[in-house]
Amino acid sequence: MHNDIIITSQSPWMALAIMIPLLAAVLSFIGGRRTGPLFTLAAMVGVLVSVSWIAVQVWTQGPQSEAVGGWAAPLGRELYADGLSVLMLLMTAIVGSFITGYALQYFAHCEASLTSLSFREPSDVSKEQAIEAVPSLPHAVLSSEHSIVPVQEEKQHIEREGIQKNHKLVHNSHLFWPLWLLLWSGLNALFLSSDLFNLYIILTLIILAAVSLISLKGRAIALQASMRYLLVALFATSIYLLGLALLYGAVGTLDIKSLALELEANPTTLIAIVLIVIGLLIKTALFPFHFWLPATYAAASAPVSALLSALVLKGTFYILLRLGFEVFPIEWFPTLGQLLGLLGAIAILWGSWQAWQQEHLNRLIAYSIIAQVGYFFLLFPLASNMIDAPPWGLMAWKGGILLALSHALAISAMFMASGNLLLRLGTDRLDHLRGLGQRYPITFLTLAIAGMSIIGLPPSGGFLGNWLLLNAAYESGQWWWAGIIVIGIFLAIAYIGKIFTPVFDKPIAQSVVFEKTPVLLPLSMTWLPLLLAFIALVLGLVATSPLTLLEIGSPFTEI
Amino acid sequence: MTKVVFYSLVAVGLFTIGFYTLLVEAHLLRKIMALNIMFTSLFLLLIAIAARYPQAIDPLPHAFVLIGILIAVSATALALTLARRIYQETGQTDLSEKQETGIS
Repeated sequence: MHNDIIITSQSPWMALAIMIPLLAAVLSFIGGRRTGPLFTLAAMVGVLVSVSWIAVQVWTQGPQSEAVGGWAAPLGRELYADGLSVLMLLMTAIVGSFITGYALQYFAHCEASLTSLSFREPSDVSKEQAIEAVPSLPHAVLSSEHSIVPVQEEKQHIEREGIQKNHKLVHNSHLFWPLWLLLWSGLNALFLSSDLFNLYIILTLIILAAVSLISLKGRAIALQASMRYLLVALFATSIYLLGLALLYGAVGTLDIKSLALELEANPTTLIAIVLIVIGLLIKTALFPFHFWLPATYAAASAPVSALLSALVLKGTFYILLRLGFEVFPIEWFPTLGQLLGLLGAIAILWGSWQAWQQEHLNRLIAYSIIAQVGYFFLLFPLASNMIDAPPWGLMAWKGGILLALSHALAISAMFMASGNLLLRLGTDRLDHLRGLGQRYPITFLTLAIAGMSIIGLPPSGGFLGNWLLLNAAYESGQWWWAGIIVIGIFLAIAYIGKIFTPVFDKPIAQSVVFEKTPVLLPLSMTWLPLLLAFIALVLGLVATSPLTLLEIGSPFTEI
Repeated sequence: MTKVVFYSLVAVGLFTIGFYTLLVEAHLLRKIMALNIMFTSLFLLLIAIAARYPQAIDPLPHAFVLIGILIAVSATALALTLARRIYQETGQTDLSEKQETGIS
């Protein structure tokens, strides 16, 4: 952003990328129960077109800025796009489109299985009574051998409960669309914004939409999770705003470009920056501030967990990248970078360890996110030495961002696959997955491919990201970060492997006759996550163009 | 300048009180009130900063406060709604987990 020539764009595509979903959100909210999917699909097309247009413009002409309503920077709010923001916008558009498609089928399926359940009710009751009358001898034998597998009646109970628990979600499902569109609009605005106070407004918009999305499930556990998330997030943004107020008092502007030129290192700005960083770290769930994440993500419904983990987390990470490399005074940066890297390293170890200990699939994925967020932050110490601009700076910068991108693809695929299992089985306990590998081959294949990217096996995007970070660590002589990355990879193999240990176990007669709703999952619900996981897998092969895109307007290019 | 410093210190004090209450109190209504105290303290700080030059008032922080009030109102509304729904579902006014563990 520093010395590049920024082209002032005359066409309103950036504003459109924000306004289209916002308008569609309002319309679908007014439009009633059935119009949500329609407006979402229309907005999806609009966003895809405008984001691709911005991408082409940035690709061919370099960083762009757009003055909203003709008001330029000091007074007005400018939108700004460079390679990093374009990649983030594209990530949001791609993952968002997949989740939109998945959510369409997800809610339809929940509704269908609920209807089928209410038809089935009487016969089920009689069957249950019959089972109760006969002493369940074979079950008792089996359960003594594998005490963790529940007996048949219990399974039916779990499964029925699982479907009934969704009835509030079905009731609320029409609200998913306006909220998701609001969230989408907020994310696009976040990636295009170049003003810190604007970012505060946008962060709050994202929080309000995300909290409402989590609470859609309507059950006590989801409501409590969303309340906890709301409290933590509002606390985080108020710390951020406190930092902004101090910064404004010291410098007199909150525009990122002006701040980059005018910010001086003195005690007031130091306090302001520390507050801003802490506020953003809480929202990004880096190690000591990760406490809110697992319960929140495990309690939300599958499309919502996918959205939150893939996109919302990356939003604050993006702000940290922008501030860290473009605004903060360069003389503090090595210290700040090492600190963030240290927290990231602890996050990798702690998150992986916690993930490995989980008994539930959703919670395992949620803890793995904490570990993965740690990886992104290794970018900071490795790219921090910007004064003599070593070549590994750019390498680490690319590696960290590529990790974030492929994580978004892989983790949303994992949450969707896990959501499929939860819908079919009514449980996501890992030991209940015993021997189900043959029953749900595509879903487990999705988990495996996405897991490969999370671990960082070639040719996935995760592999290339890790590789770039390792190289940067090696060339900069900071070998300890390389050690952390390698340990993290082994820990990831352990916890991803834990999902599959029971799956390919010998199937137990009991679990094969697992009774499910007569309504089968629609094909697209299993194929969409698989496709997404597959994109994460091949990202490592096609990463040249995104990586070149990252150089456009990056803090390393002008040197 | 002393006036500005005084109000800024009051704002920081209020923020600390809000923060402390948010951490210590379990009752959701009190947590929401604590957040509102924190928001208000930030508005006070911004207003104080707006008056940092003796010759003229800086209008931009006033605009921030106006937007901040909007945000605080809508966030509070959502928080209150959620608190009410939690009370309806569980009969509790705090976030302690007494039921529904295990299957999510």
